Amino acid sequence: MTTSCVRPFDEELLSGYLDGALPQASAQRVRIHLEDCADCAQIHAEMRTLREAARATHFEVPAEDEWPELPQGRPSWLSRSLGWTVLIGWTLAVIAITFWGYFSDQHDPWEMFRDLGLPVGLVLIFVSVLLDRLKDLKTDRYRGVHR
Amino acid sequence: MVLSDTVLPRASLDVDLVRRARSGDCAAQEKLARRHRQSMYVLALQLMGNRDDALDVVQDALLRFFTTLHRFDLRRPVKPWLYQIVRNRAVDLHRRRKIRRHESLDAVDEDGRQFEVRDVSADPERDVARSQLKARIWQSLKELSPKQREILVLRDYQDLSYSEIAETLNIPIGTVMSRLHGARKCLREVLQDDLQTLLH
Repeated sequence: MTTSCVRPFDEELLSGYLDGALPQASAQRVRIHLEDCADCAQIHAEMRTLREAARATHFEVPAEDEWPELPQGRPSWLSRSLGWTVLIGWTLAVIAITFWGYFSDQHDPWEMFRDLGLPVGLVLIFVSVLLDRLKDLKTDRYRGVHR
Repeated sequence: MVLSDTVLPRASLDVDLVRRARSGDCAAQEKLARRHRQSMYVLALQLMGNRDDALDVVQDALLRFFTTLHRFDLRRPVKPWLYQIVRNRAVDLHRRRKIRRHESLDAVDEDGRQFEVRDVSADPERDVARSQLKARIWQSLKELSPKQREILVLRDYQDLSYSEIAETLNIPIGTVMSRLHGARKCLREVLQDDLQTLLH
């Protein structure tokens, strides 16, 4: 409500009236109010001017040859998923066979650490990234986009 | 069966393209992207304020669009869904690029042109104050909060209805009018001098 409003008036209705989003009865009340209230009439006129100016603004868009290559969709996603599955399976198999080989024979602990430290460390880091990604998937905001 | 652009209304053509794209038709995917990416770009530009970020947002949004196509409800129109994705990507990018957001609306290209806004209908007799107002409005968007800027963009630049805005932003329709009015009031205060020149 502006200071010059004689009667209580919800100023937010001015935007609804401007956009043609009010029911007929509410629009009628706003129309009558604007005839009586100079302040609200000015606010309405200024908002209409701003809206019309915004609508009349044209934006340059990239030419067709300026667009980057279109991103791939499902086929690349499937290929990527399969690739990760094979990579993870292979890595686990190699690690399992390697550990089995070490524990089958007697090896110095330092030799084991020297030989296995790097690959085990990389695997642990990879697992941490994977767990974070899985966690992000569960809280993905886009899960509800299609609903 | 391939349906012609000239036979179907736009919404039906989109549904047909989505169905074909789901089955792996790359030509349909490309056509869907080409049909919508310009309008997606304009929205992204209006939200981000600069060309490079707008292109990044659109590419991210298109990738999301294609990877979740199998979950899209064909009863819904494609455009509001795409706008929702663009808006969400813009919010994410804003969070990551907070510094760039504040300076981007004054960006010029390497030739020194202010390239984001131009008046296609300008002629020598047009009111200079009105043309300047358009540029001032664009510049003043950065004075608004991100929520105010996005709702103003969706309504006054993109001409979405209140229900479409509500769906895009995932807010009640009543909140749309309230938030939109707050944004317009804020913009009006920023541009008070320009409005006085134009209207009085």
